[in-house]
Amino acid sequence: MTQDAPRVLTADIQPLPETRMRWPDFSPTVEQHLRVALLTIAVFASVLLPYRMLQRNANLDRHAAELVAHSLDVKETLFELMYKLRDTENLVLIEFIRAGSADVSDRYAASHVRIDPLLAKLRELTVDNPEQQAALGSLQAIIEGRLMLQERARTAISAKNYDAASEALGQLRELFPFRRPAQEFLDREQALFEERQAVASSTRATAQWLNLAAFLGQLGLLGAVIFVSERQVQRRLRAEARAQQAVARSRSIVQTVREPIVVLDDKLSTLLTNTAFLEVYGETGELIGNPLDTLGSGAWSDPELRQRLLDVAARDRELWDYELTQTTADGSTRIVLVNARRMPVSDDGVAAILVTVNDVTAHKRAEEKIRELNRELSGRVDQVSEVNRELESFSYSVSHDLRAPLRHIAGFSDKLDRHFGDNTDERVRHYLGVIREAAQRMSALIEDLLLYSRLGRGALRLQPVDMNALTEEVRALLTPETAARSIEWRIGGLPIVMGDESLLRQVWQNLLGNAVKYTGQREHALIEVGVESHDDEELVFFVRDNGIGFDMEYAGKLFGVFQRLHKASEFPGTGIGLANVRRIVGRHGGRVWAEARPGEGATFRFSLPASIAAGTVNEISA
Amino acid sequence: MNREIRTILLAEDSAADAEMAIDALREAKLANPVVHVEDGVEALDYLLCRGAFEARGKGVPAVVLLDIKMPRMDGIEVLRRMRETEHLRRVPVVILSSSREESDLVHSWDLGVNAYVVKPVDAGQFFHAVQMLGQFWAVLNEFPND
Repeated sequence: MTQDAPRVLTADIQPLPETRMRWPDFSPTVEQHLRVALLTIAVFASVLLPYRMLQRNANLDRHAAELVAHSLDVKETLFELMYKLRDTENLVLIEFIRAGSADVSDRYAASHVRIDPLLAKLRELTVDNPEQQAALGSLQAIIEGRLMLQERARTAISAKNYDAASEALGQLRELFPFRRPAQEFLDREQALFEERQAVASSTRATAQWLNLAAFLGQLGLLGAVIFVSERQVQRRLRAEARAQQAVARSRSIVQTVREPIVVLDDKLSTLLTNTAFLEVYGETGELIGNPLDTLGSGAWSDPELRQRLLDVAARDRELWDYELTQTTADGSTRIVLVNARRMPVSDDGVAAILVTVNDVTAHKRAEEKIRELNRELSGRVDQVSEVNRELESFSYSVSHDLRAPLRHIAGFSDKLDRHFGDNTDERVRHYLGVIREAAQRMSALIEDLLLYSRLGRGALRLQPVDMNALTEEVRALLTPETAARSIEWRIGGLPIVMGDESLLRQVWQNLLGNAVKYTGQREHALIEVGVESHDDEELVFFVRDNGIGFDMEYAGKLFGVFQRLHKASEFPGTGIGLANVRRIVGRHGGRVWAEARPGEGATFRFSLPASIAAGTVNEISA
Repeated sequence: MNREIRTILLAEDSAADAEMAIDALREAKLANPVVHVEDGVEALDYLLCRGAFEARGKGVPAVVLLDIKMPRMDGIEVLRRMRETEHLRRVPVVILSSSREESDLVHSWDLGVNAYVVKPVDAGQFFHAVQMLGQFWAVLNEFPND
């Protein structure tokens, strides 16, 4: 920070707008909520749905297998039944062949007793199949018929009636053929079995497809999850990189800024200092935890500032432009403005105070310089006022004291004249006359000088002045001098201006009076009065005559005090009139000038600003 | 109308001016005696019958002719004190001044002067003016008997 760096400082520093630090918003958005919900649903669906379907399929499979087993069971039972029936018949046949010598009663009974339970089992097994039940009914009738015939044969055999036995056995096959209905029953069961096997294998195929679909679905879902999470991770990484960049940038701002900055904790120990702070206060290294009043060799040991900073920490009061005079590392005395406010967020819940330092030394010095200049100026103003007062009293003295002797000269020369009475000669009378006239003339000069001096003093009494009426009035005042002459007046179109009426009247009196005076030798005088230019800036008035004019070589003398371009014997006057005009016009903020040629008349012009405000009037001191 | 003859008080420090004024008043052949004092303090002494004028009889002048610039006390101050004094309040005062300074004029009229006359340089005009003043205030003017 250079000491004499120009610094713009305004006394009325506006409070900064309330800027609370904004932290990144990590709370999930509605969209994110929705995404998580959808993902969860997808995961559950991809896991649960195949599970449920496979479970259902397994059930179906098991059911199909059960049905297959059932069919086998039915067939097995029927075969066993057929076997038992054949067995009984064979035993009866053996009995018959051996003509009752072989005792097969036990074996017969063993097989016979199995037939009914097997039939019952078959009925039970086919209870859900009405067709097979019906077939079973006829099979049962056949079996019962056969058994009845067997009984009849056995009875005949025991009675040694072999013919009857043979007849009964012969009727067995004729009356109760068993093979075909049994085969039909078997065929139906076989068909049912095949049907069921087909169903079971189709279920199994479905299960396989389902399995595959579930596998693919899960694979896809897993891929999607990986893709999405990868993208999220990338996004998060980018956001983190950006956040880090932002942090680095703000840190860089703090370090680069020319104003010293220090962040303090609530015990006024340093949390952070920027480079400018270290430079200005001659500290090195990273200052963390250093008490403020040990910094900069006591530059910060002001007890009031300390109290104010503690107030900032404890009560969240802001410190505005606290002025402090410090001796800094380079040994210079600086005036700084200290500003502090509590930081809206701190990392660990401890209040942190941001303190910024503004070097206003140059500004203060400039202010001091201005004050000094003002003092000087006011001293000069006093001097000018003093001079003015002296001039005033000088002019007062002139006014009173200079004329008394003149009066006495005139008065006593008059007395002398009367004293001599008729005894005096022409010469004495002439001398006395010259004395009297000289006194008169000097009196007139003093009068004019005082008037001229007065024109420079006193405030202008600004009011709207109708220049038409004013020139008309002045022209009327000139009537005694113009009555006997031929004068053509051309006056017209004069505006109303802001000005001091009595002073402007004197301007017209002088200009019109001169015009009348210097056209005195013209048989036919022409005097024009008007406004020449009339813009936003200024108004230019003119008085033009066809009088004797003057040589422009002497134009510079025209507006001086007591300056005359013509002989007093030809044109009387003290020569103060145009000086008065110039002073009056000047006091109104305008200027006056003239052009002429000898013998061809003269044109006098004066300008007035288009709008005279009191402050714009150029005051000319006396 | 049997009234006492009042004096004309002339306060004028310039001997020459005083001589011319007294001559003029004399030539006007007025009955009123002219009392000449040379500054404001003497004028007030006369008016208040004190100092050198302790023994003069009571009575106020017909008119006071006051120069402005005088030693010790100027004419305007005399005028101010007269206007503050009960029995002098109505006494006519004419300022006879060399100048027509605006500030003098304003002061005088603010204090209630009866006339303000600038002494003409021309001797004839001066005589005439003083005579006219004498005639007017001492002869023509009427004032209440206190």
